Amino acid sequence: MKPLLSVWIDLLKEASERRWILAIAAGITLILLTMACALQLDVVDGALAATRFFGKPIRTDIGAVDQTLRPLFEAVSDLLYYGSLTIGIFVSADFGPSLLEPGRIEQLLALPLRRWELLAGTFLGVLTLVLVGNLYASLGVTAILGVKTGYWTVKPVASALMATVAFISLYGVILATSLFVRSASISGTAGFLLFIAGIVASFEKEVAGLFKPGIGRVFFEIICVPLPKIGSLGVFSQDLGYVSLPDWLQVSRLLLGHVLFGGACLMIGLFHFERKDF
Amino acid sequence: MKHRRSIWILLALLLFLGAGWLMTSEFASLSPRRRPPKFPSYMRQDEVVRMVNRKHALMLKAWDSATKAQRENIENQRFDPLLVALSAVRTPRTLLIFEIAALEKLPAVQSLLNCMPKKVKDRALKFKDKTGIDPFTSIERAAVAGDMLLLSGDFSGANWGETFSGFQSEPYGKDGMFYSHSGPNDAGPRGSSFLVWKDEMIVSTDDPEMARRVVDLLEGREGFEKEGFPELDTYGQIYGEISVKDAMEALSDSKDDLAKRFGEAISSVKIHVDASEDVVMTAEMSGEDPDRVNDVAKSMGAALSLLRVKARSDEDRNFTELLDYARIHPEGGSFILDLALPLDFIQRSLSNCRTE
Repeated sequence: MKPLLSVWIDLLKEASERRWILAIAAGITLILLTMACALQLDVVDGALAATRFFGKPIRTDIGAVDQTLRPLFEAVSDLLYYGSLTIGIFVSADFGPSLLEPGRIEQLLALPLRRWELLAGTFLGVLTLVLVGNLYASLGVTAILGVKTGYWTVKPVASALMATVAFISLYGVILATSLFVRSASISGTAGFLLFIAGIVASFEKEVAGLFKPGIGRVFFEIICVPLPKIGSLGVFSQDLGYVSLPDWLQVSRLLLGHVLFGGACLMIGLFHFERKDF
Repeated sequence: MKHRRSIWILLALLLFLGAGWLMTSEFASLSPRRRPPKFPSYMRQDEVVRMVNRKHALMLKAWDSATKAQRENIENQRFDPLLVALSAVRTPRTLLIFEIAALEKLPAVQSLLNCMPKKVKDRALKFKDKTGIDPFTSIERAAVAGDMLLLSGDFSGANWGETFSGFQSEPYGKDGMFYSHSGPNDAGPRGSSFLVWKDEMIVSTDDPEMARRVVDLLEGREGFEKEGFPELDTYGQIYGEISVKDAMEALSDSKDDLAKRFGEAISSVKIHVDASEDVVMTAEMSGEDPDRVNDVAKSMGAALSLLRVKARSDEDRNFTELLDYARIHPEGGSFILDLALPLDFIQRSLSNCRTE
């Protein structure tokens, strides 16, 4: 366990030294600060009475804060979910290839580390990075809107956690690809293609309806089966709190499905990594 | 080494299978999301057609001080007889028009009708057999304005002798027939005087003079200025205006002095109810002073919010669902209150009703 932990810490140290990761953190902070300073919400007895952005009145409905701000919370959920997945793909695509850099990999393999520990440590390190970023952004939004409206909800945090779980499946593909082809752009592209395919697969029934019945449609339906349903999880993340009885069995199955898919990709990466000579 | 590698690939296969099973379309596909209610805010195409089809070429007489152009306009334009008849009632008053024929076909109303006690259905059947008037098909619209009730539709199959047995009949105007109780109690209690016009309108009021004025207007003996309700506002299945006094009474239980401020700031309240899918209502309130109107809008928003919180804490599901979509849209000098009851909620609530 200790070697895995040291790989994990090593990756986080490496991330903290990367300027563009710091730039993303600074960007999130800037967005949160802008939101905190520019957004003025006038709440009377739990009802949103007026909204101002940079001092300019915005025409908003007057009603219960949670209902009136529903479009805002839905937009925040979408931004957190899809934004963190997109940024996560580009941020993490480089870690695998840099791990396999000539000189560095030989040095790492010379340490008392097993190969699976090296990969698992990298995987967990990247996930931690994405989780910390997501929690920072979601807790920031929650705090700002909570203080300004008096309406406290864990909805943005739940969306951020769902995004982190969805990212497991994406990073599984990114890391496995980088083990086959040591290229940040190719592994990043593989992750991005899975991201798109995962959204399309979530609308399987609708998309399948566009195909004529036959082999093409059957092929599409078969391909969709193992794909992570990223769009479905996104819809649940947006609906949280507004659907009176969310189907928790469905949500749990989706979350576990993403974890298993990411794990399966990691296993394929390990299969290749174990036999590779450096 | 080779053995361990085969474990990875075996594990990968198992995990893929597991992921595929967990995320099969049965569980992962998106169920249709509940669409937000559509609030009536303008006349739809079918309602425009309905409005146009209702217009008749009536021989109306312009009011005395009308200009030549206004006179020509009144003489050449086609009008909806019900809206003309409603102009007989002086304002301010509460006026509501119910599109009975349209309402009857709607899913929410069907659910309600299915819950109608058998006794009531039997009574309606007996009434139809006796009078030739089917309350569900003969009446197209019903309007309540002040103390007057107007029914419009196709009453050509009506047996008026049976319908008004015990009443004294007297022709009035060209196409009117006045039915009233004989004897000294001519004015009678509310609804005891009826006037039937052209087998297409029944007027019921406790003021016989008002019923006669309706026919005078429709037949061009009394000066006509404008309809009792603007034709472009005849959208939805229930629409009309509420007098400020009646609206204040509805608000009298509210905290602060909301009812008083409402009375001071608001001069007109128009409502539209649409039950095509969910049952939705909009109420447009306007007044002369935009600041005071805006102040009332904010207070009403806060009151609705507090009611919702209270309904939630009291676990009053019906009231909570009604208030979930309650919203106020400020429009500058006016504001619109939206209320909605989702159809699935109505159907759920009425699913266990007893009709015996």
